[in-house]
Amino acid sequence: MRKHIIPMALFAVLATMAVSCQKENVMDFVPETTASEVGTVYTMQYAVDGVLHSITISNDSEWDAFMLTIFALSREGSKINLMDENRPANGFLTKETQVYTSTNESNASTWTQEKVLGGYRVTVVYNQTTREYTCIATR
Amino acid sequence: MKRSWRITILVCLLLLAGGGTVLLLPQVVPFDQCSNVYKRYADMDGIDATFIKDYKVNDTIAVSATLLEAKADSAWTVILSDFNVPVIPEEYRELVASSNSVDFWLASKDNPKDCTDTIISHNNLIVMSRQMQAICICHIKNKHQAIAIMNKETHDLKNPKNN
Repeated sequence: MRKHIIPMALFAVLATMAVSCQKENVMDFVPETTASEVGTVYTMQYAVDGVLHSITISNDSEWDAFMLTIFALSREGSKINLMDENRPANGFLTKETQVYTSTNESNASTWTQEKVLGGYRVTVVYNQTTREYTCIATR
Repeated sequence: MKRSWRITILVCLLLLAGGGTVLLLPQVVPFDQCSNVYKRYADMDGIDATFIKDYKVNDTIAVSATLLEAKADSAWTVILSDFNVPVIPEEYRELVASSNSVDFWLASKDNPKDCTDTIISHNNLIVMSRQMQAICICHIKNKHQAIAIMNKETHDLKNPKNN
């Protein structure tokens, strides 16, 4: 009996080791999509014709007054962008933009990598007609 | 005596088969080892979610990635909002809309809406195609993987059929 238990135990250990070596870290990224409730203290940024403003709203009446102001500005022809520090509602206005253009793929790629590793979001555009790369870095 | 050995061999084979199943099956069917991004979007209407294990970027580098493809404009809007994708500056919108483009940025695992400038283990490199309405979360482990991916995707812009 002992002669059979030892090989069985050995195979059990090998199988366990084989399984444990396959362990991967679980990516636990879950993007948040819940919105803040109206009525709680809510900090927003908004832009009127490209000029950034910030406002703190702590009750419904302040929210109503703010929205009436926004509607009035919009009726007058102003361009309004609404966003908040937690979850931008419609994309965010970029505060800094850098652009690099080149027909050299290596130079465009190197510039892009430097910006991405520096915390920028980079859009790389390739124009088939002019064979030119345009790299737009924003943050 | 012979019967005991048969039982022993049978048990050992069962253990080996069980270990092999646990090893191989996750590569075919994404269980808990796949990303939470995949699990979140797998059942969402209008979005095709795919977990790609060990995608070969080049001969020496392979990364795992989660690919999200929007099949409807409404689903694409959800993705853009979830990942906090910025609007293109107005003066470049026509260029981006009329040409092949790809977006890159680093996102921290804990707060993916924010750009990060730190390459640490298990951060993500986000690669997005506006034309294809697809976003790929590359689960990179170092700077070299990020650079290899950006080089490849930048090169592939010249040949859109290869994307």
